[in-house]
Amino acid sequence: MNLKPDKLIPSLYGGLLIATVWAVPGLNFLNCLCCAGVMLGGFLAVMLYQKDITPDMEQMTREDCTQLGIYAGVISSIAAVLIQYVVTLIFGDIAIDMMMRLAERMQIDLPPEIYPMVEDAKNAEPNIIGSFLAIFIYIIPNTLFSFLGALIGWRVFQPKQTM
Amino acid sequence: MKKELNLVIGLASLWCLGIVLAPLTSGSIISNLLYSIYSTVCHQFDSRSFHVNDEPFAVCIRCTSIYIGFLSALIVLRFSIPLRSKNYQPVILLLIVSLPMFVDGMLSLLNVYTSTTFSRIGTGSFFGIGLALLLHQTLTDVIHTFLKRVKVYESETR
Repeated sequence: MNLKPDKLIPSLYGGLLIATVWAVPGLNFLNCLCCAGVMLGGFLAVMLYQKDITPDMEQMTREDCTQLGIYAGVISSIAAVLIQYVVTLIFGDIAIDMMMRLAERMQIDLPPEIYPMVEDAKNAEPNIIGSFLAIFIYIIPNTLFSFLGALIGWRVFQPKQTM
Repeated sequence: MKKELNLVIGLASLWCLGIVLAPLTSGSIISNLLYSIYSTVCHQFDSRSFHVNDEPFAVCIRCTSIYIGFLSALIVLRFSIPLRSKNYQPVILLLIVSLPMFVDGMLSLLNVYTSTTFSRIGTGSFFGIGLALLLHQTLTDVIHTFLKRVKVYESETR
């Protein structure tokens, strides 16, 4: 029996998917559907890992999927902050504009006091310390939902005899 | 495996508790931290959220319904259906439970129609229940393995 494939690469792809969905304006609306983007990342990590397994290797286990989900969640938290930082530096806070347009489009009544806060947020400079702290805030939900996504992946791709 | 499922229910309850705790502790650091954590998984639009003390829940109505549906289904599974008795087809189950929520959310996003509180609660809780049916066995197995490893580690270090 050959060794199982490395978990880092599938976790990295899964984590980057979560981070991209999370940090890129427009794509982040996917997370409005029960954090679908985050769960999709964990699911993708399991799918890619399962594809790397050849018949001469040991089969994928539930523990593998658990690890993949957790790794993808942690990677995504760091990557999301970095991507968000770069996006804000290059384009400014277009995410806020898109969110406001979405709220208008969906005919959501925003309280009037929100508009000055939005302007303040748009004019704020990117903050490295704040971004660093954000990693610790994102890590909890990202890891949790990526883990759940990976478990869904396990239920879908689990080898027949372990069902 | 009931002990493990109890633990899953406990963790899910803790997550749901945070949603209500954020408005109840409004103005405090805990509240700000909770709103920040939940903001990563929800848009938190005020007009689409339940309120307590005039403050919105930490997540919107749809998300609240998903989590409550998930938790309720776990509790029902704990006390009624014997574990390991059902083997659901994961892909079909996932499609069935996510489709109504996806359609409701997308049609609303595309401005074809405006989703109502009723449709958000209905589709959200349906998805949550489906997710619990799909994952409860796997979650209890993961917790079981984890607890077993902790026991082995404790006995080895003694």
